[in-house]
Parts: sequence; C-alpha cells; structure tokens
Amino acid sequence: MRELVLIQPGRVLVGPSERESESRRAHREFEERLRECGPLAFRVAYGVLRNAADAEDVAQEALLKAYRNFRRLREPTRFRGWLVRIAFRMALDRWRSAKRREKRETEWTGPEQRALGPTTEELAVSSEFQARLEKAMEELPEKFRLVLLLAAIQVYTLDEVSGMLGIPMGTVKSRLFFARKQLAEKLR
Amino acid sequence: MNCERYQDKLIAALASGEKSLDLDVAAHLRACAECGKFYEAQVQLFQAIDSGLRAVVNERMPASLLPGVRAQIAAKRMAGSWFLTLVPVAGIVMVALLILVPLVRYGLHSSAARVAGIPERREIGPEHRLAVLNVPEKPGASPVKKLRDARHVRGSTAAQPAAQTAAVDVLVDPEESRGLRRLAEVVRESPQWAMAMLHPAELPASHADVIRAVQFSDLEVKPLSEEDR
Repeated sequence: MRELVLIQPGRVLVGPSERESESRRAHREFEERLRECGPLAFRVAYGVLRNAADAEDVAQEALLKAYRNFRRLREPTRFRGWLVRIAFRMALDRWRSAKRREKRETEWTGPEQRALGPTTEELAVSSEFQARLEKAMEELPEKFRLVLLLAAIQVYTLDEVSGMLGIPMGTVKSRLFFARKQLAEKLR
Repeated sequence: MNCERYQDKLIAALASGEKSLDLDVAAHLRACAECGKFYEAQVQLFQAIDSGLRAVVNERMPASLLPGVRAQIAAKRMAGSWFLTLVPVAGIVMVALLILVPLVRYGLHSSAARVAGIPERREIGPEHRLAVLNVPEKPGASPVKKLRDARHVRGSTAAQPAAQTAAVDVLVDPEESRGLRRLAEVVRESPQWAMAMLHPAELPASHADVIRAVQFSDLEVKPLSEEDR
C-alpha cells in the first residue's frame, strides 16, 4: 500500500531521530557562535556601560535572546550583526534607565550631595581625559557611537563592521569620520 | 588658502584616519609653525581618543559570562523537556478523570440504592399516561391524590411482574374514559387486536384505524372529577 505524505512547500520531511540530531547540531553550532561572539557582545555592552558587571548582565541577556532566535540566525555574519545590535540596544536601555535613576536619586538627596566629586576608586579607574571622552561618547548619535565602538575593537576591520551592520563600507567610513571629528571637537 | 582652511583639512585627514597628508597641506605645515603646532596637538588628541576608545571596548570578558549563558540555556532546556513530558501526562490524567468520575459516581449511587432497597429513578413520559396502579385505595382519597401516590411507586410497580398487579385503576378524562371502556370490551372480544398493537407491521391495512387498543387484565376505568381536572 502506498502512503501519501503532504509536505509544506520548501520544507523537508524529517523524522524524530533526524529532528533530535538537528537540534543537537544547532546546539553545537550555537556553542561555536557563543565562543566566537561572546566577547564581542560583552565589549559592545561595556563600551556603552563601562561597568563590567552591568556589561556582563547585558551580554548574557543578549546571548540568551540570540539562542532563542538561533533558527533564523545560523549564518555567522547575520548572527554577529544581530548580536551586536541587540547588545548595543540593551546596553543603551540599561544606561538610560541608570541615568534616570541617578537623576532621581540626586534630586532626592539634594544639592549638597551633588557637590561631591568622584570617589578615589573612580579616579583610579579613569583619568580625567578618559572621563571626558566617555562623556563625549555618550553625547554622540547612536549610529555613530556603534560604528565607533565596533571600529575600536581590535579584532574587526571596517569591512567586517560593514558586514556586521549590513551597511555599505562608505557609510561605515563616513559615520566613523563624523564620530571622530565630533569627539575631537568636544575634547579640544 | 589661509591657516584656518588648512587646519580644517588637517582635522578631516586625521578624523578619517588617513596616513598621509595632501601635498599642499604638507607643504603648508613645513612653512607655518603655528599650523605645525596645531597639527602636533591634533595628532596627540586623536591618538588619545583612539587609545581611550580601545581601553573602553577591549576590556577583558569576565570568565563567568559564557558558563553563565550555558547554565541558563541548560536550565531552559531542562524546563522545556519537563514541560513537554508533563503536558501529555496531564492530558491523559484529565481524560481519565473525566471518564472515571461520572462512572464512579453513578456506580456508587446505584449500588447504594440497591443496598438500601430504594428504586432507581426513571423518567416519566407520555407513555405513562395510563397508569397501572397497585396502590391500596384509601377511603375518601381523591383520584388525584391516588395518581400522586401512584407516581411515587410507579418505578417499583413497573419493575414488578404483571401477575402481582391485582387491582388496576386508570385515571383519565370522561371522554377518554368512555372510549377506553368501549375499547376494553372490544379487546376482550377480539384479543387479536391487542396482539396487532404489539406487531403493527403485520396488520392488514384495513385494521390500521383501530390500532389504539391496549389490553389490560382487570381494567377498571374511573373518570376524573371536575375539581381534579
């Protein structure tokens, strides 16, 4: 007796064992991407937040989100670009909410508290120039900031940044140019 | 071109990361000491920006990040597999409960009823209009009261063999009473009509109009009084 099987167009018929091995393969692939792109997610988040604990939280969240969406992100370039964007966006969200909280607390504690300068720890971590640079970076438009951060990561070339963000090389270069120029103007 | 224009060109060259300067800009730098100083300062500024950016983004990743992600993924997968295992089990249990609960309740009720000697309840339909009664007549009791009493015991009466029904009463309207009386006489004379009622398909077409007969042994028909109607 012949068995009639209906398959959706563009789909391949898979059995339970094939499905299981497929899931195992996907897990293995994700593990590879995790090793490769974990540091990138952390660095992007750290570039925005400049706090290792917060950046770790954001990177972890972004990587878990990537795991959930891994079926449509299996292509390495696509995965990296998606992860960078999501980590950047999540880090920005966290940074903004931290700023809002800080503002509320400052208003609550009153002006005499605001007069206090940075702690010795903060002074030890970042020099005055570094603090000004970070402040200037915060004022940059988001699209400039992301390109600037990615270009500063030593591992990636501008070509790779262009592939990651899915924008032309010329756009990457022009964003980088305006970002650096604006930073220089603010720091001069 | 004045110095300001050259300085703009210098900044543009540094911002775009160009390694070499245009020939005219390089020549002006050699000739103008002020622009030379400006250029040196800008080179240092851009170098500081680059090193500051590198310091920001090339922070070492904490060793706990990847194990943390792996642990969370493992926990999610574990939770997912438990959920997938529990869903069919819960479904089976629900279906079993839906089937078993009414069965157990019905079974307990009927067995308890049997133990207590309580008759099982039966639906009373139009076919019970002619009530076959086995109730001892109380002096002065109205026919309606008798009918109510009969309804109370109808289930058990119906379950009993016909031989035990000694006295039989039928409570109907006066018109029905007359008709039934006549029918009872006819049935007594021609019992085959009663048989025909039990096997209507075998009756000839000529007898179809008289198929309203029911045979009762010791049938006594009593009309309802005006006040009971």
